[in-house]
Amino acid sequence: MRKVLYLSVLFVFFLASCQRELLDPKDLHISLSPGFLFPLAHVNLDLDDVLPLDTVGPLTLTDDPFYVLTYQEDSLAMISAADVLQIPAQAPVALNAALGLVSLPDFQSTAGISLGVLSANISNPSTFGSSMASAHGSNAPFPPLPNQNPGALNSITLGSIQSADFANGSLVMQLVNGFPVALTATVALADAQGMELVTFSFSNLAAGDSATDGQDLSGLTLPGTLDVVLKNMSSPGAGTPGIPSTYVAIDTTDAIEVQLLGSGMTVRSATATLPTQTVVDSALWMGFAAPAGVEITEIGMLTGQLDYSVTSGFPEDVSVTFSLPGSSVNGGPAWAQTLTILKNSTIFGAFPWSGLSLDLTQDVFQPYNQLPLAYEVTLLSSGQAVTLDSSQNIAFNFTINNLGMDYVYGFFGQESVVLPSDTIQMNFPALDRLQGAIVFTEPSVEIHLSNETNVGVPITLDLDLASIKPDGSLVALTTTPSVFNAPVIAADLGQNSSASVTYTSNNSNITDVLSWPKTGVAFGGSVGYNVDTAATGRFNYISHTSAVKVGAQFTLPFALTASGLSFTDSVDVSSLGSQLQSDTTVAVEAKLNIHSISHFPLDASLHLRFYNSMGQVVWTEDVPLVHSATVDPVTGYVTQPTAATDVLTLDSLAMEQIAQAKWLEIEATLETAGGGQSPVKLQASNGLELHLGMQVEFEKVIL
Amino acid sequence: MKKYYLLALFFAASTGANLSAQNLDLYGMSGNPLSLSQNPAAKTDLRFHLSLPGVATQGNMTTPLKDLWGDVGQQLYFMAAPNVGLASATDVDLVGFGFKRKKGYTWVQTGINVDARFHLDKDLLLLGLYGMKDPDGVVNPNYFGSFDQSGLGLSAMAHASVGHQHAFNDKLRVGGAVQMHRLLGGFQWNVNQWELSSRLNTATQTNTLTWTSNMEISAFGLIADGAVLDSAMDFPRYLILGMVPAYLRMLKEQKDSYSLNLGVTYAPTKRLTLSASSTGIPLSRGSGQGGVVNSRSLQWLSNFNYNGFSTGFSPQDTGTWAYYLTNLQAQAVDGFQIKSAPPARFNAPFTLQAAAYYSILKNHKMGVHVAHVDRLAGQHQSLGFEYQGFLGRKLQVAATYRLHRWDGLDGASEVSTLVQHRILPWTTFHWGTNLWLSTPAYQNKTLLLPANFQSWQVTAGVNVTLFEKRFKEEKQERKVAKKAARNTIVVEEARVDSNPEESDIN
Repeated sequence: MRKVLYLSVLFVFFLASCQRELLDPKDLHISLSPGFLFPLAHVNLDLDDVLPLDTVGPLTLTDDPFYVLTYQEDSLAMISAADVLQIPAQAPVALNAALGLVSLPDFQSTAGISLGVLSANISNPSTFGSSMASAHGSNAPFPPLPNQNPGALNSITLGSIQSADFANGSLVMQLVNGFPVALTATVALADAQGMELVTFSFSNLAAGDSATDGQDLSGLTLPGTLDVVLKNMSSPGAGTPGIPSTYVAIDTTDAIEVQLLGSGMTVRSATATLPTQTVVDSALWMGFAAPAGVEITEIGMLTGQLDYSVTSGFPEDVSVTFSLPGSSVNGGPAWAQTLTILKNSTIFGAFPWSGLSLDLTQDVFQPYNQLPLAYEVTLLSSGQAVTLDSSQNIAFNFTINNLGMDYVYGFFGQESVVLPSDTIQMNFPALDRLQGAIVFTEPSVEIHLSNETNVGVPITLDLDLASIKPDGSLVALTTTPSVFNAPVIAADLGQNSSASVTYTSNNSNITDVLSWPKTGVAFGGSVGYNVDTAATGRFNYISHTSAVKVGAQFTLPFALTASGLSFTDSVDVSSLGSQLQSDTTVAVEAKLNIHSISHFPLDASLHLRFYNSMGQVVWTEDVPLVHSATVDPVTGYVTQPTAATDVLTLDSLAMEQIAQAKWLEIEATLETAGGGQSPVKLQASNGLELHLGMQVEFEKVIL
Repeated sequence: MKKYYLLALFFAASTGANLSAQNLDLYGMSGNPLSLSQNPAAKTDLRFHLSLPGVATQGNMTTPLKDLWGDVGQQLYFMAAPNVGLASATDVDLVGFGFKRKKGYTWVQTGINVDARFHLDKDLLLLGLYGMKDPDGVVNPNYFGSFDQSGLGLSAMAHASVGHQHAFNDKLRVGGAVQMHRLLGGFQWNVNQWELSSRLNTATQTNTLTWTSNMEISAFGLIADGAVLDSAMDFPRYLILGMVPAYLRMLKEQKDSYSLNLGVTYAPTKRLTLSASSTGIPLSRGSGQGGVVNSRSLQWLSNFNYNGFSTGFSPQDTGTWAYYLTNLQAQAVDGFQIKSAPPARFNAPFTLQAAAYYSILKNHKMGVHVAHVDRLAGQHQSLGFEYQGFLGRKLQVAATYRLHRWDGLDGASEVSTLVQHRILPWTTFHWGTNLWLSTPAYQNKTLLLPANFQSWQVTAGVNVTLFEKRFKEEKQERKVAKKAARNTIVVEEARVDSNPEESDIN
């Protein structure tokens, strides 16, 4: 029994062993073929992110109602008063003035010759003297006197003149016959040497009557005291002896009076008491130094002074008065200053000229750049006799210093300043490969001049602006020179004003200039003053506050069309290909889902072209990136977004082809809505939502 | 011959290999003291035993090999099991001994239970094989994968038990044992929730990936005491630096847990024997919470949604990997947190067994054996149809056809055997395996694997045993009767005898 059970058990075991199922390892297969779907990225892009608004200048980007790029530079160039006119330092002026002819005061002197004195010198009749003496006090006949020369009977002075060399003057003698008989005589004035210098004639001067006779003093040199010489004297007498009724009263004290009157006397030299008189009265033309070509007609002085030195050689103290005809002090009367200079002395000083307006037009032959300085020298009589000579002089030295103008009228010449030219290169390697064109439809450039305060000079601005095409040719902005600050009106002095010129697509080719592609911008130009005086005149002004700011404003609204815009680049993918070829067990499929919600008015796509070593295309893929939103063709604004889903699939066949590729050419194309024909206006709110998802599948056989 | 057996015993003892294990075939085995570990009321017929150190190992896969064979990916789709993995339970019995006194038998046994399990959720494997594809091979934008059937567990737990059984009469025997457990080391990775899902957003035509996980890691004896675990990186750092110096201290401080073994054996008739038992019944004083201290646990929570790299536009950042990764990392890190968690349970193995045996002949019985095992390695239910008998005086054989249910899933059936040799008069050597139907074959220069292979079991052990005196007495009576009947040819019927005759008491 035991053996039966034992064998039964063993039998069961063997039976079970024979009927069991076996597994062949060759039937075991493990292969990986996972597929995953995962989100890659969500991009929420507004144009505000790419082009953030910036209201802080000078380059601003605003969005009202669409993007406008503005570059404003208020002070592109500054022209100050000193740039327009700079008055050079003034040269010193020297002047000598001679004393010249000096006037002497009129004088009147008297000398008498009594009968007694005369009768002593009458020789014919010889008894004349005694008869007169005896008849003194009674009536007696006055004997007739035959022509005879009694001689120097008295002396007479010439007033305060001690000696004089007369240039002008008259000497008048009045003879008053105090004798009781008529006289005829010649009265001569002689010097101490008895030389008769001046004679006067009197004829038949009745008793008690007077008569005058004058002589010209010109050229005469007279001492101050002269003898009175009677000569050629005669008288018919009076009374018949024996007829007492015919007798005349005889008084030996009766005299003939000689009155001498000198007047209108000017001397070349003299020793005399001079009256206070102006001896020099003239004007000096002070040349006003100015830059070449500049004609200054009036200048208002903000600061300045007239430095002077005066050396007087005159015998008396003098008073010198300076004046500037046509000038005005602070709008008031003309400038004048008086100095007193002691005789034979020198003084220094300076006259402040701030607030002074100078008229430099008073010379009709040169109505500019000349300043008349009038000077008057007055001798101040000391009441003492002085010796003078007409050659005595007074010397002046003047220098205008610290000249600071307040304003200047005139003509400031013609000048042209070339603005620094430059070329801005716009070489961006990435953009160099950008094909196609971008056209901004509403650009503008505004050049404005701002006078603070006005510069009364016509300024001609000739702007050179050109963009450079890739082939090197230029697209120049068509402009004409612009004239500012004309006409020049004096009343505008000190005022502010501004003016501008704007270049738009309506009056220039600026659209062509700023269209893309361009490799650079060249700019330059010139600024000229008084370029065309025939048109603008020759009147200029400037004040010390004058300044001109030249500013520019460049406005680029983002209303644009972009067509055929493409960017191409090449990538060496030979390593990718070799990797795909070597790893034969891995097959890859990849899908890129691109879901876009676009408010952009742009279409953008990626075109992938794979080339083998022979240059043949082995695979192509087109990937739309951005679909343009709906744009109103009239306004250019986006009206409705566009939603789209695009899938880029690279399956095993693609991988197989791509594995042969050596080069990948990537072309990105971009175009504005409507095929790039109608302008679109970019707004900050234009946005793009991109949702990227990736699905990848792998396959690898393990066993 | 005896020399060879002694040598084998010395080798087994010196290497510490193979003595006793929870081999279910041992449940009704006579003369083997290890059956007391499964049923404290087992009728061993011994009056003394000494167990020498040994080990037994059992393991299983979640599914028979044939269910994975072929196109592995496709097989996984149709696999009934929720995960793929391995589990093994190794019981190392150390020294034990027992003795009979009057109607009772008292014993002491020590040992170590080592459990290990590692599972990967089927969906996780499918994710690696197919990604987010559905069974038709199309990527599913609304993919959902749940990987919560993944896990890892390791534990080594020493135990010492003291038991006693009392035979009230020839029919009824009751026994019990108290076990003291001390966890030597343990590690668990438990997944409460682990999901990856995808949801398609029709507005953006992109999907959102959502990762949700709620995992716990517990470790005992592996993390330095006082470790401050603030991040995932602290875990391996303390693991490496703190293991050796802290381990002995942790072991010393570790509190013991206790469990109870109970059993009853009832023989209503001479031929019928019924038995029922339970081992590892948790007792209080630490056992309620698994009795583990010095265990560090971390709970990893993560919940984040990945919607892709979201950006507006920042010229200085966009387009750089650094910005992309920073953005991505921020999404991940924000949804990730680590916090402390109560330690995982490391319980002693728990079993419930019941069997009914019928003696068809003397020294031969057949029966039905039901078992439920719940331990770190997994839950296991089995229904076995057993045969046990003596083939000769020195050879006892147990053969079982067993149906298994592993962690709720029907497993492959198996045939297991256990053979017990009396290698010396007082020493037995037993060994067993269930690989009869799971051995590879070699055909046409090709090694073929068994399709039904799912579990393995190898057991071996050596015991020094002394049987009850009555067997000696009965033997002597038989000798006398034999002598008396030497001149006649008598075929005696086989009897159901509870005491084997091959144990020579001396």
